[in-house]
Amino acid sequence: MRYLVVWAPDWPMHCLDIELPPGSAGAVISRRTILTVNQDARKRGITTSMKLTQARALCPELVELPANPDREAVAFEAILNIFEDNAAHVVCARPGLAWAPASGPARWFAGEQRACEAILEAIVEKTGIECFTGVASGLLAAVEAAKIGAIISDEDTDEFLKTIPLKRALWLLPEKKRQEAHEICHILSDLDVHECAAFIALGKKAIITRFGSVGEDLYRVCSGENIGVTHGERPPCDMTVNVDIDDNMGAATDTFLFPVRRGALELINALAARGFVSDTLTIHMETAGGLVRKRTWKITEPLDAHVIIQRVRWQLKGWEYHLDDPQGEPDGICALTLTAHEPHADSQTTPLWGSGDRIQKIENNAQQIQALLGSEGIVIPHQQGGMSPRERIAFIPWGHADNQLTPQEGQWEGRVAESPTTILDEDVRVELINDNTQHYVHVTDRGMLNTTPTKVIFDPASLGAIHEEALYELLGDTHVLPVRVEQGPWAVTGKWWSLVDEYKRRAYVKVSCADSVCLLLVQRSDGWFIEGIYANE
Amino acid sequence: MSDSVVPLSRLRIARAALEQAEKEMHLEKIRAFPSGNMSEALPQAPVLHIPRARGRVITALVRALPPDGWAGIVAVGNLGWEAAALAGINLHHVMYVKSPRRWGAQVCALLLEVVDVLCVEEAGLSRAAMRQLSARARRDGKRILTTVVWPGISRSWDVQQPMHAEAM
Repeated sequence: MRYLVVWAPDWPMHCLDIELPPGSAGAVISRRTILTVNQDARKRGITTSMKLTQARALCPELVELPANPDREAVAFEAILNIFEDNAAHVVCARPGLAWAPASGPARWFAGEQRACEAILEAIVEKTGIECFTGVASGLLAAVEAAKIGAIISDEDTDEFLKTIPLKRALWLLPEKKRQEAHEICHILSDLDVHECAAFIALGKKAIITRFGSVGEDLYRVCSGENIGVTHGERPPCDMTVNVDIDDNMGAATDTFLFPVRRGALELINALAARGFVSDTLTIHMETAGGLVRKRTWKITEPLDAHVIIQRVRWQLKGWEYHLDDPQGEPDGICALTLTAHEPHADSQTTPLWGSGDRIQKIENNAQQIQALLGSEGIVIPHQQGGMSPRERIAFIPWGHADNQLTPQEGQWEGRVAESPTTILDEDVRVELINDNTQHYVHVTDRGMLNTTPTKVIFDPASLGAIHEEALYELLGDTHVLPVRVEQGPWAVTGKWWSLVDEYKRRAYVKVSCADSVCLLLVQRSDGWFIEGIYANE
Repeated sequence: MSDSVVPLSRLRIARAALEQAEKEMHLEKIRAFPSGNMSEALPQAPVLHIPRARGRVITALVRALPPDGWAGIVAVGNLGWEAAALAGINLHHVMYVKSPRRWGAQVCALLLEVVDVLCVEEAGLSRAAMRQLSARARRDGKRILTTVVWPGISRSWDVQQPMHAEAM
């Protein structure tokens, strides 16, 4: 089949330009490093991978935006709408790359060349973004043709494929096969096989014998075929799940995604029950006013509930932003269906020592828990950099990326090194006093204690939050304990400008109540609190 | 002397070098927590009642988890997660549900299907749910650690807590 591909090179940069005022220098930041810059920032000497402090020195008026795949997808919706106005069965692989069968536009515009020109003109006219188009037989050839803005005839496809490096074909493979495919390319490069043509010339039988199913898929991609349904088999029917939309759902997108999550799980489980996988997903929505919107996605990562929900969320935001259609909002949607196209048997074999099934089961069960409790209902604790034991742990919802963690690298001088076995989730207020002078203890601006603490006074009402029998044994019937300073204070400047009290200036002190119990106390702007308890028994 | 027998002097030198390296890296305190799989020390029951003190909870998890094992933690708040990591628990293999709300039984059941050790505190479980979870744990060779007594089901395990560990 011949495909017409629309490709927006370096899409995050173009996406930036849509959001910024004209003439502004902008950059996408992650972990204080530049990920993407627009043209105006580039003119000022800012490049990708540059440190943020250096970029700010070069351009003080730089507009900084956090990395946001949602924004990139929403911004690409404008181009997809234009593409859909001129072609049927548009499939979006990722923000910046989409394709459709070329036969329809070629007939409508009386030729593939004119179809490409018409689509490009429409995109430039409505969005101002320069894109590239290409037409060829097979996805790999069509995408590579788009990168050079060419139309490759059927007769020239084989010659064209000869020039394509083998590594450029890997993105068309499913994600779980890509790592192995990379290793195959590495082996072949030692044998001086770098291009698709040289790879094909090895012979299909030899490739399959040596590299198995991954080699076979790579061979088919390099030959211009689309992997998925095995030739000679009768393809199973598409699988569709209807999502029940409650009329009283409300307008919040996150609330709307709850039933979508259940529907996504149902679809994934239906595929898994029959041993199928799919890499093409269609999301079909109908509004109360009769408006129908549909989008087809090509999925190269493993199709799971998180991926489906992400695509639904992108579509909702994109339509809301670009269509300016109040019925595109969640509370206007009355029906939603999810369809997995061309389900096919998963040819990946389980390793003999296999843990692949277990990981999939863990993933499925975690998503079912999220369906009950919400995406934040189940989390994974991650270690990160920080000055205190509480700061050094971050809870990331299951399935979410952990790219917002504070780096652990660096000395973190002045941190609280020892980690208590109990870190209180909620603050327990205490008073720290010197009962000889009856003065309250505090940490001065110089980071020292104004007097020696001798007693800590608990609030009886908050003692129930602490599950340390050793502490209760010491307290007995009282709520006052004699203490002595064990270590500290550690003064932390923190984000003094922050409105969140937890991040502001604070100081930590470790006090011992007895040989067996120590408390990690933190002084904030409004007093002393227990942060952790060290209990040695 | 055969190749498989290492002279004692070489062993002593190697151990001394290792101890010196551990001392320089401040790793000697880490070994205060038990390492490796000590499940042979566990009482032979699928459901074990452990003390609520968080240090003991951490020690129990370390001892109950097999190598590369997964843990499900439900409604166990105020846990020193960094101390748990330093004790040897792989946090990437931990599934933590802070509050299961009214789905305690379902959440525990879903976790028990996929983890090696389930640690639970107050999850609103009925006696019937406790019996079912216990039966599943016994059938599948899993462990349930609970800080509240499951009457007639749980067996008490008095885990001794070692010294605390220091972050590197």
